Amino acid sequence: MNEKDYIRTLKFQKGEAEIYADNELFSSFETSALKQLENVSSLPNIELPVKAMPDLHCGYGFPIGCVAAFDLNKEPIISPGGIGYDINCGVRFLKTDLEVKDIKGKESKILSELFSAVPCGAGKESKLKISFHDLKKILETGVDWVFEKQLGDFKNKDFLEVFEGQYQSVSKKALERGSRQLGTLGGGNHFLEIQKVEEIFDKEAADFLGLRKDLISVCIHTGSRGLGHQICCDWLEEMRKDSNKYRPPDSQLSYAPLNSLKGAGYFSAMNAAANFAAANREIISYQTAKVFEKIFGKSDGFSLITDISHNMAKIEKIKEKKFLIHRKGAACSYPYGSVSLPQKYQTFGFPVIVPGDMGRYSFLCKPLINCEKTFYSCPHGAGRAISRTKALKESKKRDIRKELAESGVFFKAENSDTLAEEMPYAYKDAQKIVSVTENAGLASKIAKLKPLAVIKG
Amino acid sequence: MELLLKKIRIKEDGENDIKLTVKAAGEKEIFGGLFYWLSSLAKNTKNKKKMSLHFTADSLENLAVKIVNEVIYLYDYKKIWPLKTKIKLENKKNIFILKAEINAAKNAEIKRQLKAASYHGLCFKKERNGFVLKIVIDI
Repeated sequence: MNEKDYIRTLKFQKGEAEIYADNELFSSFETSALKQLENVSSLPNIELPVKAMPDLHCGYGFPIGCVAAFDLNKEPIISPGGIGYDINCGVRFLKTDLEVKDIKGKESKILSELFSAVPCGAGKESKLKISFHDLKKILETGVDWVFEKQLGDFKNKDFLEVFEGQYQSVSKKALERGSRQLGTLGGGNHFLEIQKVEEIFDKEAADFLGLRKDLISVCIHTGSRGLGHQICCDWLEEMRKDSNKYRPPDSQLSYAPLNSLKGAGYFSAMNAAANFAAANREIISYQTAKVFEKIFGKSDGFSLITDISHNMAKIEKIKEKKFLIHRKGAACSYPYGSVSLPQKYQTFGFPVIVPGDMGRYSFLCKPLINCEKTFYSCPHGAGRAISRTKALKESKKRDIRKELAESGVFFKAENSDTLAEEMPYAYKDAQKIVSVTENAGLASKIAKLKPLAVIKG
Repeated sequence: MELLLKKIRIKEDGENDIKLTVKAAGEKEIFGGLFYWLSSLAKNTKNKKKMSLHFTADSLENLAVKIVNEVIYLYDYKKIWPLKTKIKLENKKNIFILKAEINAAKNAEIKRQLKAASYHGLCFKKERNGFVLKIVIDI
């Protein structure tokens, strides 16, 4: 099979979509997700075809795993539904200099310490008391504020972006929600995972990143918390007022021209939320490093490999043209020679991580030049295989905690239902998603990572 | 989860989220059911507080979204969660006004984090035996 066997085009009445999937994954896509793809492809001035990732599934307005680009020279539009509620939700991957043998027998202690250092779950507030003045600075300067306050690891600075957000476009309610949630993980599918490098596929790339078999790594999945949700709610409500004028195919797909007051206002607020999310992940990983330092006496081996957003709209240049690219549940994926990259990654590309469920594995990948076809995007995860409700029912017949323990995974969560809802096999196999990604020439596998200890909300 | 009240039926389902269906004989009872479902998520209800909330919207479905989003905001910022609610619903030239007298829990804990009410699949319609509200909540 060649790469074309993993890419198919769907033609709709008004638009078209390019779908990255093999037959098995394609047949698993919900009709509702394909309908949403059709709706997105009918948006004005969109670059066709719209791109769909192998982990495509039904979302709100946009499906999850969707990439939509708008040429900046052709009256681009912006839609909060194309970014999602959790603005700049993303995944960060760090390596340590510890090995499996070093943490053996200490997994429970690590989990307890992390659970105490990183608030997670419903209603758990930040340990940081930040003023509105500081919050406004965070919305405009993101991780720079974190480094200034020495709440992060300054050597990560080169790898992290500061977005052009303005606090004036953020409502009081959003500020209030954000004021108590900086440095918190949240609930749902967010997680903090201690992993081991189980298998190396690309030795040269792994050596370059300093990864080797049995090395301990850390993966963090979180975003802009209540602040991002409030911003999405506020601006969606604003844009819905113009529904009679623009007639979006779905209420959740309401939009505004990027150059209008509402479009520019939302773009600025979205960037402010992106700064909050970036600061949030930096603070959480710093807290995690401190926990390791407390237990192992050192954290100097902690180093950031990647931090990738999957819910964002960004202006990027592809083949000399500038686009506003909406990625909803699709990871930014920059191969060498694409966008401006940190010095370390200029000849390598910015690594991408595809997380799987907590009972199996995640994959670290290297983006390839073919990513240009997907507007520099890759899949962001595995997508659910069964619903929450079904997972809850199924869990009653199984001892999930025992199953996890038997496969060597320690687990701690704020909510007892989380274990059931997020249990192994509730998600599709990340291996299948990555295999399509690799066969379509979007990215190549560097390493497989196995969870050892997981905290969730 | 299914809650059966005397005149209200509430069903909760969902893939990645909560798809809530509330059925009742009247429009006001639908909102009573929505508040009832919200109150069923409370865990810690020791400290109480009385409060009034007013909502206005151009449709009944938008009113439902506003209510859920306000409750989420109040929890995130003030740790307040509604327990018992008396409601009054008015329609003034197709502007719907809901006044809620709420007995709320202070420093509340809830069983599940709600993140936002969406417009996805949102509907409020009349059926043969009453009304139905369908609302999807991101979690």
